[in-house]
Amino acid sequence: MTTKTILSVLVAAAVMTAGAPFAAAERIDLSVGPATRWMSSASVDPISDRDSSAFVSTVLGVRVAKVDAGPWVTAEVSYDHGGLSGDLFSSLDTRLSLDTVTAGLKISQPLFTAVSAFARGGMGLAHGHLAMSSVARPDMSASDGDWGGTTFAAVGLEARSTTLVQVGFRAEVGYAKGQSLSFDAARERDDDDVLHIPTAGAAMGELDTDGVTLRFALVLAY
Amino acid sequence: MTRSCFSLTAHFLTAVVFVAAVAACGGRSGAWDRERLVLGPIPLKNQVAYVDSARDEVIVVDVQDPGAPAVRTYAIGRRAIYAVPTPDREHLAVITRGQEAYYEGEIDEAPALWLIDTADPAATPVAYAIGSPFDRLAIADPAGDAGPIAVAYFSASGPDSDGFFRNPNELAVIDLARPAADDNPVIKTVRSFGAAPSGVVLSPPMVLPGAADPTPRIFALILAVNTVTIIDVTHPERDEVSVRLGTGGTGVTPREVVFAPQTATAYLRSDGASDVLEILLSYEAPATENATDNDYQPALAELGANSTPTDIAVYDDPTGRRLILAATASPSQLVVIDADSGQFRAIPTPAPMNRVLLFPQGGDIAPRMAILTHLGSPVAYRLPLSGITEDLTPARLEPVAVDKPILDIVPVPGQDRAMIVHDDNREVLSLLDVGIGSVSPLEGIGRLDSYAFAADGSQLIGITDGFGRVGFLDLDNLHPSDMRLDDPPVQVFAMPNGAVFIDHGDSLGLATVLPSTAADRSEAVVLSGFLLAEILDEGR
Repeated sequence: MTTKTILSVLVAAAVMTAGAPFAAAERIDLSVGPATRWMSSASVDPISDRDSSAFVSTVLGVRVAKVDAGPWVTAEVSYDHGGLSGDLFSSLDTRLSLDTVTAGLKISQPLFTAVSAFARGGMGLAHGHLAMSSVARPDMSASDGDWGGTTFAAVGLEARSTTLVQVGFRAEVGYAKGQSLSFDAARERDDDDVLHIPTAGAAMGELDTDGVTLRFALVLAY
Repeated sequence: MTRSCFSLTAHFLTAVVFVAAVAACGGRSGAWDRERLVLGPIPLKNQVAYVDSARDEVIVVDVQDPGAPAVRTYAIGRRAIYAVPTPDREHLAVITRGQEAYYEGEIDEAPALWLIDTADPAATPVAYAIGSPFDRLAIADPAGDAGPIAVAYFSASGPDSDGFFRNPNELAVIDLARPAADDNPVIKTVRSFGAAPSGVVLSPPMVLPGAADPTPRIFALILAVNTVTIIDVTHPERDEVSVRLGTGGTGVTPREVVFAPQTATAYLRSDGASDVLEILLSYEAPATENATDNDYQPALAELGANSTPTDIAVYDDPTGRRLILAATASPSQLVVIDADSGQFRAIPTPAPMNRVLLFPQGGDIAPRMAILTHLGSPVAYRLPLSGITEDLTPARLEPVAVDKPILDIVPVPGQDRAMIVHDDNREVLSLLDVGIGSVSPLEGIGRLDSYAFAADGSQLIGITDGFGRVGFLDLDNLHPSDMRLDDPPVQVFAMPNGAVFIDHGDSLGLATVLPSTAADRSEAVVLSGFLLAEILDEGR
């Protein structure tokens, strides 16, 4: 799947979420909360001794359809921002930040008056930025960023009030899978107005950010 | 209904906790938390190597194409402690200490010598089990059809916390042209007379005169106080021979060895000896009852310097005669010794000389001129070598005034010139034209912390630690030029293909590569982060 295809899907989903369904929609959902992704790949090991990375996750959804006496279908756009940091060989500081924008659908089935189960999935783009610097000499540093496609699927439970403006809580567990991100160790320079010799960063390799996700969020719906 | 709701929620949360618990069982190998020691940079043919003791890798920056430097990594054993290139600079030899398995998942690993063909991207490092964690390595040029031979030995640093016993007289002889086998390496303990070796010197390939075996072979001279032990490292299974240089009293400490391969002779300059010592190897049939008996016999002779030499130089004159120049301090003289006949001629010098250089250096041309200096004095002396052994020909010792004291003198490769260093910080320099006897002062803005001569000897390239420029001096017309660097340099190397490699001492790896000494900034390339090359792929 090319980045161009993913971008097309993202734009289409965003338009669908933001505009067209409003007339038929009964609810607009906004959920914000912490998330964790366990990136189990060994490629993460040079960055941190932990596999778990902390994220802040924001999801905007619009109900777009309701099957007869069945589940609600919600179009969603979500943005996750997070990462992890650590050290390498006790002499280098490492930082990975990961930003993910996805679009997808959520299908929720009311179980009880205030509780529903849901499944959601989507695809989008992830941008990673990896930086390493010497502990003793922070001016010795290298960093790079890369884009890649990403997909996710999750299941969860949601409880919300039955008032007009609903307030609730969501918990979900899922799995995120994406393209590996490639990084070069490009020299960081803060004197951008100075003429520099062309710099080539050595390839650090590919980072696999796939992993199990756990997400909690407060939900506000109208 | 409420009970069902709680039940579902409870099951979901249980699943979440389970997933979280399973996913959290991560962590990483302790390898990523090791203490890191980087050996290098080590200049090779058209590559520069770094040995990372934490990653257990050799990282090579290949500047064969200076416009697009390539980075390669080669996996080696645990805990690299010493690295040295082969004489042709096409391979890198690395000694790794290995490790004793201590934590879960670790594997015992023995000390090893690793040989890496750094010019071949697909090369697999070859390992030789050397038995002990030697921390020094001497490598000889190939002899005949045989490949290079290495001798691993212990330095004088003494035992460390990693071992229980250490045998300082143990060494390993490795034939680097053959794969590891039961008879490669050969581990030996040289005979000791109470002293540990202070160094190992390998001869160039030498044919033993009169020997039944006419193939060139390499001999190792293991130097110790009062003793030189000789091993035929082409046949390491054979017995070694020890030569006593002195018995009791003042110790004789070998300092410098030069070889005359055509006559299978070694000349030693030693502290405590009153002459140049000559060790002549001659054929002696091995004893038939001893399968490991050697086929040579050393003969020790003193060549008539009649005083402790402070420096020696050896060369073959245009007739092929081997001559030794030995400078002595008391009396102040230069003794010219005919190594074949032992005849000598003493040439008085105005002051005791302690540095003897011959020009031109290397190549097949016999030296025509000697430069004698007494380090610390502001005068150098030219001595034409033509007819120098003839008593009736007056020796013309021509003084060259230099104005400032000479602290070091370095020949320029391929040129009849020498760079003179006048102070400890290498801030004041001058260039001596050996042919004319003229001296040109060189003025710099700081210390010459690292320098190199271009492969053709046409340029002096220098840097000052922490000062963001590289300087060039055209040695043909002494025209200076320099170039701004983006980062302060630490070391500079001139590569055989004309490229200039400037290392910036960055712990992540940072180097500036110039395609030639004539290149400007637009042709330069900065390569960053090469010490992190492929690091994300290593755990996969």
